[in-house]
Amino acid sequence: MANSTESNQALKERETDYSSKEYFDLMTKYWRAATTSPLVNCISKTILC
Amino acid sequence: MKRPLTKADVKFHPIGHWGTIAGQNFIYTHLNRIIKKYNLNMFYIEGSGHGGQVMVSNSYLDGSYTDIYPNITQDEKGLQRLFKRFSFPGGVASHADAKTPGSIHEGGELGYSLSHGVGAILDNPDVIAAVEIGDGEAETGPLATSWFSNVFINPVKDGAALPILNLNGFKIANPTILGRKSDEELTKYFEGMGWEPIFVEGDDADKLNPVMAKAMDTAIEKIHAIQRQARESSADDATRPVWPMIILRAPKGWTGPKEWAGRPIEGSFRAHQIPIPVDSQHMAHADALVKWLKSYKPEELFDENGTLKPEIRATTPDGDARMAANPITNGGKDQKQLDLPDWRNYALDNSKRGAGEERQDMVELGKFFRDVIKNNPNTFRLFGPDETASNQLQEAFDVTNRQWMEPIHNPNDQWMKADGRIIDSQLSEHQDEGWLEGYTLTGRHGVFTSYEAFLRVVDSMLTQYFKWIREADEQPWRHKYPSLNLISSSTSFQQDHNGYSHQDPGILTHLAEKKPKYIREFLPADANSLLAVMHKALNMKQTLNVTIASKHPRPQFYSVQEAEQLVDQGLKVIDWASTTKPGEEPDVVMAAAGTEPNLESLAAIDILHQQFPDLKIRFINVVDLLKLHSPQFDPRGLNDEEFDNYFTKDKPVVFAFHGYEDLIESLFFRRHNNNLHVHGYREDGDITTPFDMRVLNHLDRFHLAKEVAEDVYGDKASEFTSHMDDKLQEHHDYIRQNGADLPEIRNWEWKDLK
Repeated sequence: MANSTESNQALKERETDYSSKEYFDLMTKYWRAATTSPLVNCISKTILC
Repeated sequence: MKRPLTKADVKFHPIGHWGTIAGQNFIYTHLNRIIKKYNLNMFYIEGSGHGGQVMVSNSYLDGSYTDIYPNITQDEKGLQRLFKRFSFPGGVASHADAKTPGSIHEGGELGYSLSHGVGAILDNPDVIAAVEIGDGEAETGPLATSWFSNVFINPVKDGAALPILNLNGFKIANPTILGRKSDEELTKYFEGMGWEPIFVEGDDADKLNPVMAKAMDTAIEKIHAIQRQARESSADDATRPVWPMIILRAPKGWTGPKEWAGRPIEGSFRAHQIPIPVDSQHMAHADALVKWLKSYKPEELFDENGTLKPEIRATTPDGDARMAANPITNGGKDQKQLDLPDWRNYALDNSKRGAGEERQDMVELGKFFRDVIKNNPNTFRLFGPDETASNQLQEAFDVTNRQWMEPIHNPNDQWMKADGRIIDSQLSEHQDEGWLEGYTLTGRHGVFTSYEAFLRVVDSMLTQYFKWIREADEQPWRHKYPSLNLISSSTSFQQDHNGYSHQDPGILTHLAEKKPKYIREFLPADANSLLAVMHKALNMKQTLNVTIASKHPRPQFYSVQEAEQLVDQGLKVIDWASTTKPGEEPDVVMAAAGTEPNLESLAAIDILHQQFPDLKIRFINVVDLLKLHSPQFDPRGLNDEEFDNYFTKDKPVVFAFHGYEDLIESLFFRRHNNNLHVHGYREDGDITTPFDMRVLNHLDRFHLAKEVAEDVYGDKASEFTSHMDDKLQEHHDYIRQNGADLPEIRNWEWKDLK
């Protein structure tokens, strides 16, 4: 069962299109999240978002 | 934003550096992509100053921060704690300090990112160091010289460094020099330095994503192709490839406010720190701040609990593939203790102590290092600025070579090969120290040997390294690092033709000012003591050790047993050089730390004993200098009772010392006995004979004997002290006539005391 899960995961990774627009859109969101966090890090002592 | 911003939400004194953040996050995001795409073993070095948010934020988003700090949870409460602790009293620094997961490079003092990255990938063939280099940092001397690192990376046995020059165009208040260079100029510069630059430029992330992705793919595929091709042959056959690098031109303060008060922010030096002036006491511009923060649309990124949405989190690698969780950034993967040969097998027979053939301490150490290299073919390296042979470690070349990837021209060259355990072919102390730090912080072992005076070139690097290991030691999750070992040779007290410029033992004072838990200063007086010191030093963890070692022919004094005791205890009363009976109070204590101080003290005892046979002298040799610290300052230090047992409470102490005198004076400051007379380096030097260097600084046998006689007998010693002055004059005249020391100095041998 574990092997089957690993195989599925490996298959999924292989099928990921790391150059698709969808993937880049997710990366942009990740970038925004990472960039928002330090902004807030600098300024906030409570939760802002 | 769930509710309006109030002053209670904002820090009293917001501190942070915004300008570098967005560009670095863009790089980090794309590194995550290629790690997943190519299944890379990669870690990140943040060269730009004050970009601590980058590694903190990214390690938080990929979960590695929470793995280490479980109270920083992946929800609103965790975010709240994370935000508050950043650059806040009791929190974390605005640099990637030792508290930051995945960091081996703080980036507080700029210039060492590439040296650290390359040190880390030596002997780590599967690892790629992604080294972000700020364009401000790129203007520093150490960074500029570190582009030469590619001359020393063997594509078969070592990993790769991928420099990413973050060319945002500005520093604190100025444009950057490289930022104003054209692509053509930069291409010529970097191609000339042996790198292949790949340019990425823009300020629209949507347009830039495919460009950056292609650049990253190209770089990684080139690295893999270089390694694949090189690894079809042996490491000895490798040549220097042209490694890729990436140059990212994106605005400083990218995605920040376009302007403030009519002046540009994004794309300007004004983006360096906090771009909108808001703090808890000044909320007038809070609306502008909120508008800016909202521009990131956090509601699209985090769910209602404050957790990063899973589909976004899925763009980050998992487990140890996360750069912040890469084991090599935490003391290395599967850190190994060195397999050290028994140093006693290399010891000299010193049964005729101080007599017979003179030997060179560093030559004997070279034999030991030769076998350390043999026993540890992948985990021990020697570094130096073109000085391994000059510092007399040439025996090590019996089993290895200098690692060097440029063409080799034999017989004009010597001991050079593509694969070697010694890297000393770049004349840069910064590079040696940087590489060794990277090598050590990733769990391996090494020694950086330098001329004493020019270890000072890396004073501030050593300070920063000390700060790192101190802070890392306080993190329970950080593994312990092997010791970082410096050998200070070609010392002040024999420079022959080099003269005054090559005389500066101040490294001892400099490092003694640091927290003593992390510093060791060893001053072995002969080869056996040096061997015993290095065996101990290489086995240590979490320390920065500096060993002062003579490279010139010198008399040899200490047996194996004495050397062991000297190193274990740090100091020892030398009975055969003392005229006191066991337990008897001396008239004077003579102490020595260092090769020439030991030699001259013994010669002075020889003179004094002939002149004053009833004088009770206790002689102490000190090897582990900082054992003299008071336990109030260093728990390792001798307590007052122990100290008094060595140095008495009030008898004159004539201390011959290799370094500047105030260091010894400070070590005695808290002790009972302040009847102290230090003879150390007094900043007097010249192109002169070895003995004259000691005379110039009053460290010679005549000055020491004179000091003892005056301290013990006062005016009654005037005839003797006058004789010593005559000897000094005779010496003065003789060397100016003959260019060499008096025969009685050159041929002096220790004679057992009657």
